[in-house]
Amino acid sequence: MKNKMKEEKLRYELLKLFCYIVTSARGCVDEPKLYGPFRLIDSVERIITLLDNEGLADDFLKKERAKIEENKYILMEDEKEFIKLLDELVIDFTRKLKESTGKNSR
Amino acid sequence: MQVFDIIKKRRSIRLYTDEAIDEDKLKKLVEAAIWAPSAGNIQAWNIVILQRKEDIERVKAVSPGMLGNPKALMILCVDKRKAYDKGGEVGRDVLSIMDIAIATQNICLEATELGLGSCIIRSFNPDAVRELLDLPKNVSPELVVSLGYPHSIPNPPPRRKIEDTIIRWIKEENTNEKQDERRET
Repeated sequence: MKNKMKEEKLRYELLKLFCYIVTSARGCVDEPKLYGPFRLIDSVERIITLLDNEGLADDFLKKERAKIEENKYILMEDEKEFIKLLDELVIDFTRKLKESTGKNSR
Repeated sequence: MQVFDIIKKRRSIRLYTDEAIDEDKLKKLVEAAIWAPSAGNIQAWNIVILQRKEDIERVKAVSPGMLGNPKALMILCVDKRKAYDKGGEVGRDVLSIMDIAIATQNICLEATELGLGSCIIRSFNPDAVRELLDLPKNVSPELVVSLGYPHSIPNPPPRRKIEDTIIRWIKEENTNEKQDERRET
């Protein structure tokens, strides 16, 4: 019973995330160019939160989420700094991928 | 606070505390909205107020531009039929949108005076919001204002200078043209 409730909650949270992603996709057709990258890293932040709620986010993911959360609004003030943040995230995730084997990587 | 102080104090706030907003304050914001100027005094605006967390979360899910944790939402809608009946195509497609924008600024300035944070959002899917709220087809959601008590207030972003903003200022004695002539010689 408890598991079923948990599953339902997860499905509901995923549904909200899917709504966010598809409305973002539609919005990106007309919105400023840099809103696209913003929505994508915002999606990453939301996915990590979902994983965290399920106890599946490791320290690396939590650190990256915090980085996104703290710095993403820089887009409204300084586009160059925002692009720098994107570059940093790319390297962070790539390095993590490089050291991960896909097996017992948690 | 003087009006100009409030204008300069207003920021787009996205992170809010958990404190709920009194209904009286929300009513005051609506009052500020309805005192906005309206082309032909048509007032084709309608406002939906959401305070229930679940509903806010649902609207947030179809509003990519809505970030943070608002405690209330005001969804400003245009009654397209009313705008067209009284103002024709220009009334429906242009003037009613301008009216909504001005009313929204009134809301945000009054919110600032009341110690509330606000953020104007256009990045949402109007069809999805209409569907979620069971709004009639002639009622079009145009802007959303997220509200709450500020958790933190961001620094003001840079603004263009006054002299860069005014591209022409024609005075009684035509001082600008004289200056232009001087520059040319």
